[in-house]
Amino acid sequence: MTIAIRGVATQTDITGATRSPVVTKPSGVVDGDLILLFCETNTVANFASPVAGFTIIGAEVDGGTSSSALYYKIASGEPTTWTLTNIFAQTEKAMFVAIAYSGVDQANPINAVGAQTFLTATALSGPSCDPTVVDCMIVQFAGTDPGAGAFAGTPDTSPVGTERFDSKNTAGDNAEYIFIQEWLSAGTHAAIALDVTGLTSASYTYHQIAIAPVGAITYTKAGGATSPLVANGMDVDIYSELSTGLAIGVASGSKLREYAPRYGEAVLSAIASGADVIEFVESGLSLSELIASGADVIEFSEIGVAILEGIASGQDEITFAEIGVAILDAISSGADVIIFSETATGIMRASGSGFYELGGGIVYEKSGLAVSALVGVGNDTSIFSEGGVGASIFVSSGIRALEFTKIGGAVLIPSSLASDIIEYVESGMPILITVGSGISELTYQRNEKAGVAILMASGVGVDAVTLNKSGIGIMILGVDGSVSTYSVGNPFFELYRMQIWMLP
Amino acid sequence: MAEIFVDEGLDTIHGVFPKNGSNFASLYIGLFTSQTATTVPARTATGGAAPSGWVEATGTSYARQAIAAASWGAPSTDGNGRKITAGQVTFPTVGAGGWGTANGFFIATMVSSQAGDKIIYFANFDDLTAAVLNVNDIIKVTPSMKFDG
Repeated sequence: MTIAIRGVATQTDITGATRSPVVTKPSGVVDGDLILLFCETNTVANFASPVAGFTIIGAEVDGGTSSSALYYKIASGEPTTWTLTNIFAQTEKAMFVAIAYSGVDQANPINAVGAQTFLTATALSGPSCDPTVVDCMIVQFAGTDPGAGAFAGTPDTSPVGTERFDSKNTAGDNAEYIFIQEWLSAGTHAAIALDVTGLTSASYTYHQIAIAPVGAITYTKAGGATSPLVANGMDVDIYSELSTGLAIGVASGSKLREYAPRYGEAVLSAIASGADVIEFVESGLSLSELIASGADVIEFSEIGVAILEGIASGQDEITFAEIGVAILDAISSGADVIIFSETATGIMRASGSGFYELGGGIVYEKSGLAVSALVGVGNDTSIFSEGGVGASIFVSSGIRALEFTKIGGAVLIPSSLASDIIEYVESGMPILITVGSGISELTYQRNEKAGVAILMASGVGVDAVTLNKSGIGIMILGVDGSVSTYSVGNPFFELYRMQIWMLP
Repeated sequence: MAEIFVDEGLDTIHGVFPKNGSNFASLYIGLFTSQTATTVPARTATGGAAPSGWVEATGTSYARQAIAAASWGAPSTDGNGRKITAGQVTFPTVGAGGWGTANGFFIATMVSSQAGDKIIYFANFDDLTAAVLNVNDIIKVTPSMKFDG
């Protein structure tokens, strides 16, 4: 960073004699800037050092009529003004100029100092200083107490100096004059003496310094990138806390993604054979697309949202220890299971052509909502330990069962052979629609308490609604051809409290 | 720390293995001034003659530095994968005017932006602090890369 003046050189006239003048800070100064404070008095002053945090660079007396001093400090939370307590050994009138620079080496701001001196002349040189590093800012200060009359100076022409201050204090009975110029020793360093010419002949004290640029910085850095590669074999990612995991496996083997103590979000897309597992100890959001053979499992110890799309053979399983939302889209053979220990919403869809054994089950320990669309062969069961709403659509042969330990609502549309059952230990409202040819056995095994039953049967076999207590049964039989038996007498319909029947 | 193997970098790797394409005797490390000290370009960022999605450092004396294949050390286990680290690379002393603020570095296949240049990856510095590169400053970078299993 190149050294540059900050704001403008700022003059403060001390027109009333004091040992502790108040001096104004240049505008725009920020922490880290170098502040140079130059003072000219009309007497022989004994300058204190340090004062108000300033360090003296040098002081010079011209032999008895005036004196000057140059101070510096690195800005750090500077006030608008500084009170220079007892900067003078005795009360003085004076003139101060404060000038600030940015880009200065804060640790060692003054690289070189010329031997301040005094001279009665119209031109001054230096005093020369010899900086040891490149890019120093060379600054020359000159001052006198000339009395009445106009004073001015001309900055150096070779090298070309930049005048930063050239003014005389005419306030009160003061008559101090200060000249400041600078030159940037860009890219080089050598002994240098700036010249100021065109001065009115007087006795001048003058100083020259080299300001060091901010030191070059050596950065030592490290870094890198990571890419997850997916290949054959067991792939495991374990997250201790909240994490987002994306695992795409196109391989054979087992993919395991574990979120150990807490929760996370995982996307596991595995096209492979073998066991693929996503495990959450707490809550999580899991999206798993499994097109593979083998057992695919998503497990949540607490709540979770899981989407498991399994197109495979083997057991696909989503397990929630507490509540959760699961969508299991399984096109496979084998047992596919969604298990909720508490409440949950489960959507399970299984479809397949040919000979598929779908032993799909949705098990809710408490209440839940299940939508199970099963096209297959085998035992498909939704079990609710408490309340629940189950919609089960079966287009297949096999045994379909919706079981409610307590209350529940069920819609069961089977078109199949064998026994399809809706069972309520307590009350419930089942709607059973059968549209099938051949032998359809539809049995309401039990409704031990109150309930409402709607039975639309178009089939052959024994269809029964049994209400052990109160209930409403609606049975619609629309059957062409032979209808074998509707057993009324065993009893055909038993409604102990109320009976409403509609028979076509 | 953000980092990313960009698409063209992954394609480049795939091109060598398993597609048996030509490998690189040297890769090149450069500095990027776009994004932030904690973010990197998107996976779609590209090199080539007209880089897209990122900005490389510029300035007096700036140049990508070569990393010879032999500079990469032996792979070692790091977390779930294997990591390989190259020797520390020292860029030239920053010239007049500075190079700007480097938010991280990248690995490329060519010594400068030109047709065929591919970016392998971008990474922030591990300390997540940008390097304000003024004249006379020097920056040294130790690059690494890792593949998780």
